[in-house]
Amino acid sequence: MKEMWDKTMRERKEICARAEDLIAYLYSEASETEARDFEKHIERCAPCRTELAAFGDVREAVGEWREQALGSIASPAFENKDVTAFASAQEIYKPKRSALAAIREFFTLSPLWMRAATAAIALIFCALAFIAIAHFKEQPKVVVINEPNKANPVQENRNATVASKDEQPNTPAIKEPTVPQQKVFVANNDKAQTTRQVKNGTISHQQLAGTRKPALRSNLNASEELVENDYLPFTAPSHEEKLPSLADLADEPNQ
Amino acid sequence: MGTVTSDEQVVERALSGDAEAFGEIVRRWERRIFALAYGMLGREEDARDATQETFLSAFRNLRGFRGEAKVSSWLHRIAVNQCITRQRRAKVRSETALEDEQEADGASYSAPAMESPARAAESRERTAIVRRAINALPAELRQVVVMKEFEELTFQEIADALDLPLSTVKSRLYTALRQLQMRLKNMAHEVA
Repeated sequence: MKEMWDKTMRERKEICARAEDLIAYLYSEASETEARDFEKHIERCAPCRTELAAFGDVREAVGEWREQALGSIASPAFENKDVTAFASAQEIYKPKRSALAAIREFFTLSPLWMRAATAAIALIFCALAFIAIAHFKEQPKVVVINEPNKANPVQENRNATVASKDEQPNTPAIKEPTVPQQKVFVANNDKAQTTRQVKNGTISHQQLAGTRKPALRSNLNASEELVENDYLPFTAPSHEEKLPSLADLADEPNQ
Repeated sequence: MGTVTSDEQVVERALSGDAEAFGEIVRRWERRIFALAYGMLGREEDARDATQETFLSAFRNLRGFRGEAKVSSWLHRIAVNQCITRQRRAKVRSETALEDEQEADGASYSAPAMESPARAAESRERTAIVRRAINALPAELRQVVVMKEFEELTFQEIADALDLPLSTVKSRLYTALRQLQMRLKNMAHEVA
């Protein structure tokens, strides 16, 4: 709108800058002094004179349309109805619009900038929601397992092997890493059961010690077995125990 | 001789519970609001609906009228907004359909009985051109032209109704008249 006016005024200034005076004079809204001044002006300003005449023709054409249009229309809007009663009737019958219809009307009637802003806000909201969902999905799941040995897989394997050794002494050593993992729970179940028995007093501490010793022994045996099967490569092999110790050598007489 | 009460006094009566008072406002302003709506919308039916909507809206929002502006300015502002809303709706529905309907309506205007058929046809053609030229104006320009030409409001009244500076009203009217002049000239050439 402003550009339109600026363009009009640029064109106008090339001929004459008294557009507002012309309009005021055309509609007889100029004061007496202003009117006399403008009349003097148009005597020597041909463009203003031409434009005044052209605008007069436009007004005449518009007036003709107005007379014809409004003259043919007999009744006003309410046709002498009581507007209060009409308004009450309108209030009673007020159809409910759906949310979709309301949104559609909003987008239909609102100006372009408002539509663009709403669309941009909706897009930003969707993007943020997507990022938030993606962020929550990426977070690692923390599973709390009431199992102290779980933190050390080597120890788990060892315990599993020990447990299996206790239960089935003649079975060969477990080579698959998944199998001992299953047996961890068996061993731990036994431990839990033992703990319960201690608490209940059905098993004495001596008995408990007795049950622990074979476990320690069997742990040693299992270590050897793991070494034989290359599970513990840095453990000293059992045949090294047969070598004479430094103390034994010291006790022996010099030969 | 009864005393003439101002619009503002009538509105006060309506606010204090006088059921007849608002009807008085409608009777005073109905024709002028209708003329404004007709000038902006170009169809009798639409103008009638817009006029009804204007007064209904005024009636519902009567308590919001604080008396800072004149009742006439307040009503005109509501009417202009109603017309702009209806025009946007109509534009969305079907721009071409509306234009066709307006063309059809244009042919149904009754010319004065004294005129010869040839003159009546010429007059109808001329007014159809004017209507099309006014409808082609941007809404900001059209509303100023209609308020001035159809309602014969003063520049100050238009400025109050549209909440615009006085100089803006004059400049818009000047621009509108220039555009109308050019459009009428072009359309007359096309018809010839």
